[in-house]
Amino acid sequence: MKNKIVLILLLGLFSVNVNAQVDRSVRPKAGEERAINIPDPIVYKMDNGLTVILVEDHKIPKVSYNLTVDVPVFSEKMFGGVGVKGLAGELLNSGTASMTKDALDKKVDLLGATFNASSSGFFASSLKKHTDELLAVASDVVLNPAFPQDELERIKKQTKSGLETAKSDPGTMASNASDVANFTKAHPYGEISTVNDIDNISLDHVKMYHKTFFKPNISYLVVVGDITEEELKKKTDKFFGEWKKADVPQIPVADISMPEENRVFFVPKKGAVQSEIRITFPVDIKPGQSDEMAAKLMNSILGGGVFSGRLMQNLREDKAYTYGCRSRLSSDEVIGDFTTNGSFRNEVTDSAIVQIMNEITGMVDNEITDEEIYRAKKSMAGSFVRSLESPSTVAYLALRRIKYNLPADYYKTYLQRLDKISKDELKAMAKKYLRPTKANIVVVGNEDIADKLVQFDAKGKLIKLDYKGDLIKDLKPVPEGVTAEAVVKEFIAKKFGTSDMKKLSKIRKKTKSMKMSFEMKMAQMPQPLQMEVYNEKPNKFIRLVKMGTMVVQKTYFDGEVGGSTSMQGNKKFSDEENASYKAANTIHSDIDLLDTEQNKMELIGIEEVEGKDAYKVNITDKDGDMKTYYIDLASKLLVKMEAEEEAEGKKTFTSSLIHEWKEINGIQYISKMEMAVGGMTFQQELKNVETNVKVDQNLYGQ
Amino acid sequence: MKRILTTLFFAGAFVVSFSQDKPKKVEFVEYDLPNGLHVILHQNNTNPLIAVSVLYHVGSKDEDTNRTGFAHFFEHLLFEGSTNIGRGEYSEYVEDAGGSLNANTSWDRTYYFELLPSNELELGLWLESERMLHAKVDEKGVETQREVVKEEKRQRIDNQPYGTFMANCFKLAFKEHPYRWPIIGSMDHLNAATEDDYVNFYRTFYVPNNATLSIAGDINIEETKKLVKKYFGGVPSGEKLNVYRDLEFLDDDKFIAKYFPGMPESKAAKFKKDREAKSTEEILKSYFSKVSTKPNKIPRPTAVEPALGGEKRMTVEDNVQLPGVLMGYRMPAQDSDDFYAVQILNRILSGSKSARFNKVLVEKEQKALFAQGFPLPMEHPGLAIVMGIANMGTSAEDLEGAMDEQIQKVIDEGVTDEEMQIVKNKIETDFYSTNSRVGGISESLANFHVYFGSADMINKQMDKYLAVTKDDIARVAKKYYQKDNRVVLHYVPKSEE
Repeated sequence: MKNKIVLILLLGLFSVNVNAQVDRSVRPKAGEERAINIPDPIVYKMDNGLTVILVEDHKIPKVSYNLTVDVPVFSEKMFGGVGVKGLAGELLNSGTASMTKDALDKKVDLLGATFNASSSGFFASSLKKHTDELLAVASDVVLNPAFPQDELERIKKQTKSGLETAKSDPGTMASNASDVANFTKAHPYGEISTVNDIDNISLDHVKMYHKTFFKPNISYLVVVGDITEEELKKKTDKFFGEWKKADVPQIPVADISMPEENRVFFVPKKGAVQSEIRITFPVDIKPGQSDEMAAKLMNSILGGGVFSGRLMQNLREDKAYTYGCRSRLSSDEVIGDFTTNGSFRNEVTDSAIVQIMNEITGMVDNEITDEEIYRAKKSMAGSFVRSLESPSTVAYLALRRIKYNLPADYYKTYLQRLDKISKDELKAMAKKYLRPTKANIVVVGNEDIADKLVQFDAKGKLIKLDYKGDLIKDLKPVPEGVTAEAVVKEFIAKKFGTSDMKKLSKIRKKTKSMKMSFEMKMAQMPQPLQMEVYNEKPNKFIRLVKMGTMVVQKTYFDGEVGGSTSMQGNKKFSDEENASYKAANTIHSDIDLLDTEQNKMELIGIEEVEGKDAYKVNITDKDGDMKTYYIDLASKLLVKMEAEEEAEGKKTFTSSLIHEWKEINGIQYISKMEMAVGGMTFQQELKNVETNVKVDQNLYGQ
Repeated sequence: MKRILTTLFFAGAFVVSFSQDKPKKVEFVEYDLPNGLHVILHQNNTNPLIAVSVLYHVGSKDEDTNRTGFAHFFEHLLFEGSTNIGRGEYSEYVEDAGGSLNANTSWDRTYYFELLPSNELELGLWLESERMLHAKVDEKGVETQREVVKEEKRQRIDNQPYGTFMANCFKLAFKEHPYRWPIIGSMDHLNAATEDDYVNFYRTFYVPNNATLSIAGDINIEETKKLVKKYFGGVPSGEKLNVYRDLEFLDDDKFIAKYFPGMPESKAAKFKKDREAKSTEEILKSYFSKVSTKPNKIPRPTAVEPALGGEKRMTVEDNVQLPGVLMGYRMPAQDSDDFYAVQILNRILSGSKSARFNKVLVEKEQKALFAQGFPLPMEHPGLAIVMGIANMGTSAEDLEGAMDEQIQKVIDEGVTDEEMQIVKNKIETDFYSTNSRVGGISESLANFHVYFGSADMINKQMDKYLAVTKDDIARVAKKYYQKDNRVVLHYVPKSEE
């Protein structure tokens, strides 16, 4: 009886609670949290080394297959040019040995499926009932791609049109500039594809890319959907069992040097009404390393993910400078980066940089509140849990865990590890990874704002880049009275000790033949190459490139005809080429620059080369070919030369940076030079010069 | 005999396999609260997640001609806070709970949502009911968001190549209907807005009978109904809501001047005292017991756009590198039967790799970098877009001609059985994934309720698509894809000065 009364009382209480006016002034209490469960994926390795990861999900009758070829980081210049990956990926979609592109597209569409191949694999998805037919297509694409020439031409044209659009897209312009600022063009991460690159890439390059990297032993097949392990094993054997394993080369890449002070990279964009600002620097965090999570949590407080991040709150909610401002800290196998990004109206560009810098500095120097830490943790945990709604996330996490060799329970313990991160750790992360005084400040915007940016550069000088991250040099005006001819004459005088035509002719007369020996080094080649150049009066030459004692390339002209031999085969010069070589002196050819009847000269202005002022002179020869000479104001010597040459219908841009001149027997020779040809960079060093040597006449000819 | 048996056998197999494969019906319950709020609940306990969303049936088409951009601006303002939620706290509450939130505005609606762990259902309801009952914006909030919206416009439209495409297209295509102005609106109008404008807009459109509360995910239907009642049941409707909000936001003198003009000094003093001592609900009860709770009628734009009456053209010199062509064909509203046929027609033109635009314009003729057709789902008769960016060396005129040729081919020759099959197979495949996330389901249910008059259309859409025939495609192509029914915009690179 007594019990019953208690119960009634309690019931009464309960119902009163429900009907009472809701107290709107307090945040409702959270209910009991439901634990999350990350299903274990099934993982197996095939005999050919292909790793298969399966996440079963039988809710809907679909299966998806995602192949990831873990292509190592490499310089695309080695495969014809930057952009070869993209072209190869596109071209994989262009048909197989037994199926044209049209047939392939129609087949996939009739299945109601999705199929896309890329430079790093493919994604294929369909209803379960079509899964075998789809896998047959996918396997055919990976194993027997057709790589048709006309498709390459089409995709190249398309790609070049795409590159065109980058010229007016602030986001792409800012990304290109950031990559160059952080990694330089010498590193794969700073490589920007250009029209020249695309022109250079041939079908062989594309095939070579596929042949080198598409191997099962560096690949992962991630399968999600309505399929069991038993069913899948039969299919992977059938469709990928024939795929042959092979060693994949690991290619060394250049080291990254961190910025040592704040630098401003400015990319002018005509008519811009906003400045796209990125403050960025390289960060060395590898995926899964012990402090990766703490570093990301620190970034989250600053401006990652959450709307309540300091950057968003300050620059948008307080100052109203922008629609959004965030930061990102990414880990990477080679080198990661930290980047803030946002678009700001022209007038507040400088104020915005001040505020972003303040926030980065504040993160390092000032307190982090418990409230911020709580919010960032909850938010990061929440987005992790939300992402698990999609089974493909579960599969992606498994892939990442296996690829980077992380502990088996890495994601199962994610939330606990996140929760444990302390304030001290976060402070340490800010100190370790943020570089408020050694950052690259990248701004894409209206030319009018440039002056306001100078204050942020430690040297007080802007580095101007164009849309593809190439330097834009400002020309200085030439003093009155200086002419192109006078500048060139001074250079000849410096080189030969005289610019008097009679004396020069004498010097030339004395020399019947010459032999010059060089050593050539290239970052991608383990051993240096030797180059020997023989010049004989009046117009004969032989150029030998040797690896040890083996001649790998020879070019010659015997006074009437010439040609070249190399591993790619023999070639004879055309009549036009022969005529051109015949008319040219090979001994001390620079002297002929003084012949103003043959050469048209134009003094463009004064431009900086490696920090020193140089006259920029364009010289066009009688054939109409133009070269640009940079002649140092102080030393009067040539410091840089650029030329666009057409060979075999292809335009190649050559740029040579001269580091050192050396005097031998009263004449100055280029002794150290860096040459960039079609994306490759050589270091060339002069080893020896001999005059009036006997030339083996057998060397003329193939 | 044997033959018939075989056929029967196969027929049976087909039926079985189809019924097994058929997408599961999306189950839900829906009802109205007495204040007019429409509630839709969908339970799916797979993951510990929920989506709480409120769709307000107000978009740019509901704006005053002199206050364009207001619906979108309001979306920004309604994150500023409420009587019980301080400035900036909306996002803090949600992030502290491990959730995320956002909102968006279209021509026809404004949509707010939170994705939360399922133990935070009540938080979501509290936040959304606060927004509906007594959202509060101070001067700092208005000024800040006005600038933020201007930055949004610069970032998304002014500073983007081809960014003004859509705005120009609608401007050209509509002369009478409010679809003629862009969703982001006029910055001058936002600058000119006064406090009265805000109050009136909130009063007119942010009321329970103009809203749909849609919740999907890890919930218990019965408990959720109770909680919905707890947080939204007390939101008054009609004139009572106006008084409620005035009680919250007007000072004594203004309030008395508005509701009790000429009130004697002594009575006024008592009222002021009461107001200080009592809750808003109690004041409502004692002073406004007779005030109407009849939901206000929501004003809707009545302008009917006359036929276009001939092709309209415009050329824009822009900061672009490649010419672009954008054509807008006037179309019926999204709930019309023709609209389904138009959607399938557009998939045949550009919905997949083997589609006509891709095969002919991109791959064979190589005139386009890309080319696409898509009808815009709009509540009133709107537009279907056909657009392309030219490949290097192709002019806007050439590209337009090439696209026209493809459209004319459909008009003249119709489409093939194979093309119909491809589209229908794809629709079948897509259908399984469309409703796989709680965020997507809550939004679809709300959309179907508001635009199609029935949330259950979520389960009937597929049949609508499958019912479209080849003849329908040819018919709608001929009916709508005519030159005198379209506007054409050319974007060409600015000539270098």
